[in-house]
Amino acid sequence: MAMMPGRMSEHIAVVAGLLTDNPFVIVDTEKFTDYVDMQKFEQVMFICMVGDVNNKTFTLVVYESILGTGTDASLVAWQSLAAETTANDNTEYVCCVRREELSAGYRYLRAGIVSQAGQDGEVSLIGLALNPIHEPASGSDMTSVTIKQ
Amino acid sequence: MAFNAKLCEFLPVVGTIDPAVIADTPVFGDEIAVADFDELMFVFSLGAVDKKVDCAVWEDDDGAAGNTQALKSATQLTASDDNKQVVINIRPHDLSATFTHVRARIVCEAAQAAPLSCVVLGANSGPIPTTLADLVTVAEIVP
Repeated sequence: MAMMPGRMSEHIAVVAGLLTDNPFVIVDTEKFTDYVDMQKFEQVMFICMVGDVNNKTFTLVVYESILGTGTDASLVAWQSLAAETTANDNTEYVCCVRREELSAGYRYLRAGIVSQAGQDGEVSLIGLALNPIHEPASGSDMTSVTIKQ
Repeated sequence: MAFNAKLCEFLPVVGTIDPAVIADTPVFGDEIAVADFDELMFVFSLGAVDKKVDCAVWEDDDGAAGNTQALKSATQLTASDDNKQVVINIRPHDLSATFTHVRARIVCEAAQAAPLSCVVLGANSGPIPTTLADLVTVAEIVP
């Protein structure tokens, strides 16, 4: 990376954060990030930052999705971090996923975090994506376009 | 960079401001020795803020905040900037002469009702595995 021209932010995009509020006081309803379209990036890294929280169990999961919508029935759990019960304060958790790790037909990723109960402290979750994919212009055609070669 | 490597293998988490409700007293992140990295990227995250927020990177000359001053600052954010992110890039040559360390800084004009945070990522082409450079508070990495 260091040998590449340009600034880090020209290679690494901030592509996801907890929806609505980030950081956020997590409760027992799972809170999700934005979807990341893995057709457009080589890989993504989710970083979860935990503030001064209570000693509650919380779980961080990265999901893959076919359609990238919240009602996608095919959403499946991808990878789960070990739930922590004590001494979580001011720690970080990192989860990396490369595009080729997605199941066949799956295109989108998002992370979700949930606590066993309401927390008094804040949690932040962001997604960083590396190396945008350069594709033919036809890759950006509307889905209604049919191309005859 | 090995192109089959994962981000966490060459992009360590080297500094943070842990998520917290920030007031009008500046909060600083971890001291980072710029000589250890080719470039640093600071990512600030704002929740539902109620007041003006200043995100910046400060430099100092001893790693102990002895002689410290502002290096780069983002445009001031306001109460209408809920849920925004700010990115600041730092390279060693950005620092003033004799200055060696940097750290994130957040301050609000008054007490906030919402939390703020910052994470710093370091890019390094050196031979040492960058996982060794992760903060000791990085509890788990799922590769």
